[in-house]
Amino acid sequence: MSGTGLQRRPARTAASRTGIGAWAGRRGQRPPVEGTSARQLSSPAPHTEEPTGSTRAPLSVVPGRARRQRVSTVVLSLVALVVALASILVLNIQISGGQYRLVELRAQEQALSQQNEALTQDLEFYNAPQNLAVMATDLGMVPARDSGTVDLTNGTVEGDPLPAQPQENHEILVEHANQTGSEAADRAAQRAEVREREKAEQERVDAERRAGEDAAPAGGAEAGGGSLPAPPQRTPGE
Amino acid sequence: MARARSTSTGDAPGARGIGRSHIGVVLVLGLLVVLGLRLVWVQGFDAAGRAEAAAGERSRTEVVPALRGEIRDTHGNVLARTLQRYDVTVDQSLVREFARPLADGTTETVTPTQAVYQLADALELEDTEVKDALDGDKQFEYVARGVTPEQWNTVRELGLPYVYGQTSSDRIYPNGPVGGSVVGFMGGDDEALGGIEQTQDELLRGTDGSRTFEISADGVRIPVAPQEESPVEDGSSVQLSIDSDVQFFAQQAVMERAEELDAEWGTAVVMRIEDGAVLALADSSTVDPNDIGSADPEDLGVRSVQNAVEPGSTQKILTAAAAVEEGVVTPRTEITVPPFLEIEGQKITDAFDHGEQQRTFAGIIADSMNTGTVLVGGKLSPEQRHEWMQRFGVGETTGIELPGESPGILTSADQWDVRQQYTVLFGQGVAQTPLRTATIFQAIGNGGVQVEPRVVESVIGPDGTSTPVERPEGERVVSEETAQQVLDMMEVTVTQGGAKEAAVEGYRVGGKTGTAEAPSPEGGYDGYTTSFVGVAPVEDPQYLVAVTLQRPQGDVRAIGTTPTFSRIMGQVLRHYDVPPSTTEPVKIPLRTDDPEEEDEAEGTAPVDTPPGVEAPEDTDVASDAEAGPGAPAAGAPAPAASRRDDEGD
Repeated sequence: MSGTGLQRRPARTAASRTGIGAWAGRRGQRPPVEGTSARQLSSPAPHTEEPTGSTRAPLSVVPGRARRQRVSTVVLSLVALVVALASILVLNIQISGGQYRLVELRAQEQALSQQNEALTQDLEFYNAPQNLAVMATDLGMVPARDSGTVDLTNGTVEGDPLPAQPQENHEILVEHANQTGSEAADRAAQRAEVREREKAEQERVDAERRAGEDAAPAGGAEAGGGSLPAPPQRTPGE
Repeated sequence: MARARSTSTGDAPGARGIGRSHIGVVLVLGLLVVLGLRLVWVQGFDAAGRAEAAAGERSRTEVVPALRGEIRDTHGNVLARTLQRYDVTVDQSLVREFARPLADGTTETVTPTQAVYQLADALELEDTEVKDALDGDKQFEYVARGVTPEQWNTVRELGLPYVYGQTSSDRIYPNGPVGGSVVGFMGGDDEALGGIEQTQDELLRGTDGSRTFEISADGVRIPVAPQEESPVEDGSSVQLSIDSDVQFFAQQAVMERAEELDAEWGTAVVMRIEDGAVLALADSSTVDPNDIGSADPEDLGVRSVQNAVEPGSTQKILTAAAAVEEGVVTPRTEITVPPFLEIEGQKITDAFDHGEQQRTFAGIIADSMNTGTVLVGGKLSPEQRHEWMQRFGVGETTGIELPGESPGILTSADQWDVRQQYTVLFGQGVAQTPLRTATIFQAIGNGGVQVEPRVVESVIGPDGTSTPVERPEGERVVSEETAQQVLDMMEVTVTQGGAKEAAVEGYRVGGKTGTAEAPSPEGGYDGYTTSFVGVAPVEDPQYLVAVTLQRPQGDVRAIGTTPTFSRIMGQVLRHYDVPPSTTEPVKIPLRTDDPEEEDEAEGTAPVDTPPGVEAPEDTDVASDAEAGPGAPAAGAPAPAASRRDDEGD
């Protein structure tokens, strides 16, 4: 706390009280504070009294300030210690808490990546060419055979395009992948089983119908109808 | 201290105080000494051992298994992928009743029987299977292997203290039997056993790493403790030139034809001509790599790579290329073809009866006449014939990245018997894989430059960088002019000759049929090997399809593979958006004596004259004379032997 500071204090207080605008009105007089820094005072700082030779300074009781200071230092260090310990504790708790959080997040990450894996497996199963073909057939789609080409230079259709015709017995012979752990594969296996059963059933019905057809005309010679007698037919087993 | 004691003896309360502090000091000192000794013992004598023991209690080392790379098709579709799985194990000696804590704080008692039911439900296994696994007093037994993470989570929630899970992995193949034998498969002990899995194992496998870290009592990793890590190096992925869609279509087409004709097996090779990249290697029956246990051992390999068969008339293209290159003949050279050929006491006949005909060489190839081919090829010395076959790679492997490739059988010219030296000209008495046959046509389609086929396109490192695999240098086998002339003859075969069913609407197609008798494992011959190899579009050949059927049943005229070729080639051309041909096909007269008869001959002659007529007297003799390359010199060649060979249809 030098004298300069003491001298400037009122000025600064004035500046802060009245604001910079107050100085603007008093032209020619520069404000003690310009910008953020105090300007240097032109008047010399008042120097302290010169020592008065051998004159003994009168003894006086030193105020108990130093004592108060020592106590506050101890308190301060204690507080600092406690704060430091506490912050270390907090930091440690944070770190280990973070570790638990990390474990938790890792588990979550693993669960998600496992879920992702399972979904990818299903997706790739559906994406396999033979499964696409089977699904397309189930939807009633038929492969195109005679396709044409549009010539962009003259806008004509080259080739002999025809609408795709449904084929009989168009069966996808390539089997689906026999995978474990994929719901898509499990479902496909079930569908294939159903299809197999239906096919066997159909074959059985067809065979029965054929047998019936063979037997029926043999039973009635009138099967031909009309006035002309039906041609004689051999009965099976004859 | 002693002084203090002496000066204060008289002072009773003081002496008591001093005595107390003396005892205290001694006690403290004693403790200090004990602590000091302990310190010396711990730090001085057994420091390392103790630190190690402590660290050993805390530290855990685990192997970080390298993730096996993927196998992908040319579009990046995954053909093989490794998924995380768990093996569920049990310590049988610990199986007993236990108390399971419930969410509301109470516990319930779980008997081993209940545990069996719960486990069986979670793992979707039979109760008896689980019971068998839990019964006994072994400390380690598998309950189930390769269960999904979802299933393992269900098992873990059961909280059975004697059931453990260890991580494992499972290799899955989304496309299953589509390209199954090409992709390959893994054995139970993580050993690569077939296909690309086997040949590229080193790249795919990677290097396992390990990790050491310290854990606290509750099993959570101590964050500040030191840890060691040897980094894991995941395997690289391998991208193939196989196109799943083409592979599927080829497989479906070959399966249909093989089923229709009740053939032993059928194969199809689809190749890009420019660089020999293999787009499909189809088999009529293929292993599903997901389930090799139930596969037929015959289905484990790629037949067009592993099986050498007698090529039959497709080999006439090789003979034609050699003869044209040697300047012996051109497609338009006129040749008088007799009804049959007697040469060095050997009778060579054709698949159809005919009188003496004036034919062009193109006409001979187009109707696949053995007589004419021998007339032309016979102008080359046996050494030349052998050398030309070698130049086209017959008798050598292609080096394709698939296991068990057969080099075929090509005996040296001086070991050929008197008949074999002529039959090799039309593909009998020599054996090669269907893939090798395809490469001969690849050379013709590629302007005379043969590029050995490859199926691995690039290698993708664990960091995702893709490195193309170096392709073998192309090797010029014949001149560009020769290749063009042979290509013309192949086109004439489809447009004017005996392979009209091979045509693809909108495109110019060239190719050659082949029908060879199949050597029987019991010696002699039984059944046929029929094939068709062709390229398209002829004006700028881009794709090649080779279809082979082994021992199709039925009339020899109706067991060809031309319709199958046409279907696959049509699909390939459309799939790759090849613009339809705009140029007119090449026309070369097949016959020069009687053009009217030519029409008849080309349309009906091969069909009207079933070679089966000759079969009874023919087969045995042929077998003797040509017991095949396995026994080339066996038996005296029968003069009357006639070879049934090729079919136009």
